[in-house]
Amino acid sequence: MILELKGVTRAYTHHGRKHTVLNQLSLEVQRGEFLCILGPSGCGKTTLLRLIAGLEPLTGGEIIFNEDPVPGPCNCRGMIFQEDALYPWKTVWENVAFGLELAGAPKENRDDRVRHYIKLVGLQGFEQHRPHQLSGGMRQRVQIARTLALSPQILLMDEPFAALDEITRQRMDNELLDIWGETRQTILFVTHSVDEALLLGDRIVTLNQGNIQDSHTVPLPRPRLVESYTFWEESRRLKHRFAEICAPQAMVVQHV
Amino acid sequence: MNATQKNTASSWKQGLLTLLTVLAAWIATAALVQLCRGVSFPWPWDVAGRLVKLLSGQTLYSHAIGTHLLSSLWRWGLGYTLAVIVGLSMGLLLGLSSNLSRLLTPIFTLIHMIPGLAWIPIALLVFGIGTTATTFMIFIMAVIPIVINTAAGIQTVPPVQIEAAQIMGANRKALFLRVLFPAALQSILTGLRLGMAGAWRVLIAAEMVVGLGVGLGYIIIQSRWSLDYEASFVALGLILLMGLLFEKLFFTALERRVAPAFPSTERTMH
Repeated sequence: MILELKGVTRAYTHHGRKHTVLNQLSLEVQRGEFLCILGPSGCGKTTLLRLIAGLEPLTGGEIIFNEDPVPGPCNCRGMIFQEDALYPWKTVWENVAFGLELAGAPKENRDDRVRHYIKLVGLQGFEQHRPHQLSGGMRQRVQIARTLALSPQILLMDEPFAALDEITRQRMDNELLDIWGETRQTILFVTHSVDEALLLGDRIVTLNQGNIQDSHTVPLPRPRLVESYTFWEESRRLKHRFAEICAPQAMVVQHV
Repeated sequence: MNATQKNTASSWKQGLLTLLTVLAAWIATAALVQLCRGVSFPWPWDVAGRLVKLLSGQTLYSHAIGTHLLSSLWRWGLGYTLAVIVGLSMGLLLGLSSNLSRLLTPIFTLIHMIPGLAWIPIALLVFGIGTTATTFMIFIMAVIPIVINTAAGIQTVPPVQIEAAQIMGANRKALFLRVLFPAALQSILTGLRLGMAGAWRVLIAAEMVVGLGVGLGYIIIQSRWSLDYEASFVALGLILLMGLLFEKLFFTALERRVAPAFPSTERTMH
């Protein structure tokens, strides 16, 4: 087990009112697992990833990563943001090299890694481009390359392709699967799309009202084909279940 | 012709066009003033002739034009350099500390609204007549926009850029030097530029308190009383020329180094 969440609670006070975003959430993630976290907007999925990344403090509970509690951000846990998180003044090459420079990697070794990961995400030839010269999909690829270059033990992906068009999103999903097939990295992938979760995940947990409502092991063998009948059938079943879990009466915001 | 040559050629043409427009507007104004008010408004060629005479040794208020220019340049340079040093450090501090920013930003915003002339009594009270008062006035007009824009540049760095760096292992020093400062650079340049213009604009007011009869601002004040409008136009032209030279030599060079990183400036450069 690489990651264990025990009774994780996150609450904050806003205008004198206490809002509980995550309430006593527990979750276990196995090494090498591709876990999708599915949930409607505002269910706390982004908060969950930020807590695991160490970007926010816990209100209660424990996050155990590799047998140790999470004290703060670390390059052992990579994060891919939904927003454009690249540095606009750096080229693609410099963006990918940045984390390695911070880690103090020797120049030769660094250059090899940067080259390798730029190639892995299919951006060779764009090394000297700046982010504003790239499409949204290409910018997300740079984020992926920059994160993978640090060999994190877990990859936290916060709706990384949600801002992309449908066709690009599908292509990025498939490329991510190829990369995962090569690296076998543990991935936590947050999404609000049932089909995306079904295509990617070994397991799908559904988050709503600040807690996990359902954990579902995907029975489909890989490679999965979105066009196949079995995929469609599974997708239909899961969408029905998802709609039940996130039914409107259950979506009342809790003020504890 | 390659792209750079083409750019240079077109920017030359652009510059010439601007110059011709200014000259045309000047001539039109002079003609209109003479026609409607019956007073003689200096023509461009009168001013140019006067400049040539002054350059070839004629003195103005018992000093050579070069002396006037150099003493103004020196005061401006001193006040502006101080403003850059203090403004950058202050702005960075405000940008990094939200408590300090909450306390001081409203004060700087208020000070920003004080017009140059209004600083005269304050400068006189604090420093008395002399170069210190002059330098202070130039300094204060330049420092405020530098502080405000530097702080704003740091404060508006997108949080995701900061968090991404923290996750990639940036400590506080690396975060500042390699993320916050470069991200704020464009805004900082804007502040430096506004500060420079502010420093030139206040020159006339500042040279009212210098107590020495020398300087471009002093020429303009004096010429108003002696009705020597040609001389005041010469001084005004020299002030604009200095500003323009500094803008071209310093800022354009600086911006060229920063520009490729920023889509907006790159587009305007095309």
